[in-house]
Amino acid sequence: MANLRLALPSEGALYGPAGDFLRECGLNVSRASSRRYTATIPSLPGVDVLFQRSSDIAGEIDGGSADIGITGLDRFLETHQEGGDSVTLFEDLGFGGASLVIAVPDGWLDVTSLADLADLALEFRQRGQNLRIATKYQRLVSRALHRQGINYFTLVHASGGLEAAPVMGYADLIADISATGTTLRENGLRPLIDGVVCNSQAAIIGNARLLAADEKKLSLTREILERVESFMRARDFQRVSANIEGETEAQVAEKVMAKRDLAGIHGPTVASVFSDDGKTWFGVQMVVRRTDMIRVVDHLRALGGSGISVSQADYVFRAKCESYEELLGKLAYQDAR
Amino acid sequence: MVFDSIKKLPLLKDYDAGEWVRFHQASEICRTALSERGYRRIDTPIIELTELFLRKSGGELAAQLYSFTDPGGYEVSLRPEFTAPVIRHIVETRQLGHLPLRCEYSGPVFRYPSVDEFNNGMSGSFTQSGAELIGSGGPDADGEVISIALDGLHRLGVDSPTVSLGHVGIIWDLLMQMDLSERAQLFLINCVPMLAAGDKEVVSERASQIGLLENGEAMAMRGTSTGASVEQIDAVLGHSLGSSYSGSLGQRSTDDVLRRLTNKIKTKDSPEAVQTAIDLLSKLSNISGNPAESIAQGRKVIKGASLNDENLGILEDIVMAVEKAGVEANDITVDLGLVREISYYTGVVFDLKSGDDQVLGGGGRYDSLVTALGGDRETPAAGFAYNMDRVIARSETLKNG
Repeated sequence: MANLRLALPSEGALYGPAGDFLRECGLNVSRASSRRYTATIPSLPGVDVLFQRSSDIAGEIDGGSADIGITGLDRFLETHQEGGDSVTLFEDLGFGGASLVIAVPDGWLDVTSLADLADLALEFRQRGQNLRIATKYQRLVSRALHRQGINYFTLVHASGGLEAAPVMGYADLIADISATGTTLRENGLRPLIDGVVCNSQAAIIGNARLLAADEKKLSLTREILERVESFMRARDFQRVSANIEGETEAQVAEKVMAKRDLAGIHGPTVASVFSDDGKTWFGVQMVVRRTDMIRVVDHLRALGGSGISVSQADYVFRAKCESYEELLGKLAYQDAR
Repeated sequence: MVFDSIKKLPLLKDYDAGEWVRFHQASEICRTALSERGYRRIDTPIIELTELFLRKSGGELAAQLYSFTDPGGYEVSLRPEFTAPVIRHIVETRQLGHLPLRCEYSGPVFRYPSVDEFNNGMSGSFTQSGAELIGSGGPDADGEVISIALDGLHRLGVDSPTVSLGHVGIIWDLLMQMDLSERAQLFLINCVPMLAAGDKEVVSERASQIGLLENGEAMAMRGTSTGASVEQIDAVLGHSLGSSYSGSLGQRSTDDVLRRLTNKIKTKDSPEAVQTAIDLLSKLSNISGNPAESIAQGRKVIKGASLNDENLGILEDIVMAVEKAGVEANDITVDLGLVREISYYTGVVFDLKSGDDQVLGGGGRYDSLVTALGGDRETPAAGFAYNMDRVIARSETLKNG
């Protein structure tokens, strides 16, 4: 059976973070040299990594030249064949966050909102001109503008260096991805106050038809999703352990459980400590939400806890991998179609 | 060599032999019923210049167009509805001298679904059958259109169909009375569906976001990220008097920017007036039910805002005309929050519903569309259309073929 082909960005804002993220998930990508466009993941044999331009990845997956990939949600929404084979497997990987925004020249003092822009577009029209908007996101931008009642505009397709378009004179305004707004500001552009077309971050996408047709690919995908999901979840949880004096395991457990919300997701594990100080100690262990940590520590202190330690879990699993279950749902849906 | 199988496009659907018969029968039932009333069937191309649908329809419908450049270099779209093509045909073939005209049609229309609609299994096309009465205005013409629309549903086998009436002219009139800027009027009318759904908070939030709920000075003084600061105005103004402004303005001149900025500040709506309008529309758009009661309630709300409620009389006349045209009083409700998503309507608007309250179609009066599409005279017009896919699914006689 064929290997699972995983497409990763070969350049751009997601290139570095995507590799770092996979490494943190225990999926270190081993690339012989930065000039090679293929690589492997030693911890997961059977996966061929293909480095592709970030903007091409959704298309590669639609076309079937890759099975799954990591790209920006914005690129996916803009370029994938809607209702086709490609689907999102994990929409919020927590990096590569940015917004697609509509921005006008600073000097357009009269235009601060989409309503102003709608007004101006009509005036342009009456003068026989069209508002020219430079963007790489024609689908998302034209839909958003139409929904706001802005019908008269021309989209100027441009890739890279959009911010210069108004100064160079080939567009009046731009719609582009922006993480902090700094580049826009430095180029004399200002986002409209209601000009966010969509919010984006890195996502895992895949070709549902190809995955459904190949058990090996599906099983490797499950392994990747398991790691990603449990790694992401682990960021929200911590493991707390402490020693508490008591009479029996049940009695200690009862004391801890008196504050149910501070007693771990599934309750504490309590076990005897074989100590030589003449006291009866019990070790208590539980997994708690990171946001609850200090309150949990206080709770254990109040019970006379000592040797309280908190450690980070690398992965936290649930009974099922939720994103994989979701994928199976999508595969069934595709099949029914 | 083995080839991949080719699938149909994901958003479109096939009709099998049984379904084709049902659609054909339904179309014939409509044609027969309408021809008895003097309506003649016409057909227009499935593809039209995109401009036809942008000129007046706009909004959501524009976002749903299947648009592309044809091999000859024309910007075209698959028709999302029939009204604009029918009016285009009548203007183009110089029939405006022979009014009134009664036309009817039946065929596929194409609307690319939004993400939500897509997830709910909405198709990218459906069959529309409908009729237009061009060159007749007034309540009696509205009555004719609405009564034949309901009569058609009866003949198509829909159990106890009803009509729900609204009137966008009334809402426009109230906004005019409140002396609001065009910008605010447009914003508010677009918010009526949201207000009718009870989302007044969201509307207020949006209004303040785009500066409708703050005064002109505050707007002008706001910082660079949201409005024009005094320094910025100075920078542009100062340069416009002497040397040219160093920043980029695209195709625009400094005079153009300043003219519009001054105009924007001058025509700035008072935040109180905008808030009053939101409150009024929120109350009004939640009134629906029995016509007499709803209109009485509407009058109370409008008078409560010290505005002229005369226009509600027009709606009263329309309800009477619909009854006179043969529609049972029980089958008519009034919904003051009804504004249909197509923006060319100017007067009465209505939803056609099945007994179990599913919307099967609708229509309304569009008195300014003819001139907007190049007609040389003001021509009142109204029409309706059914979503035949929904009608057939609800029809006792057609659904099982």
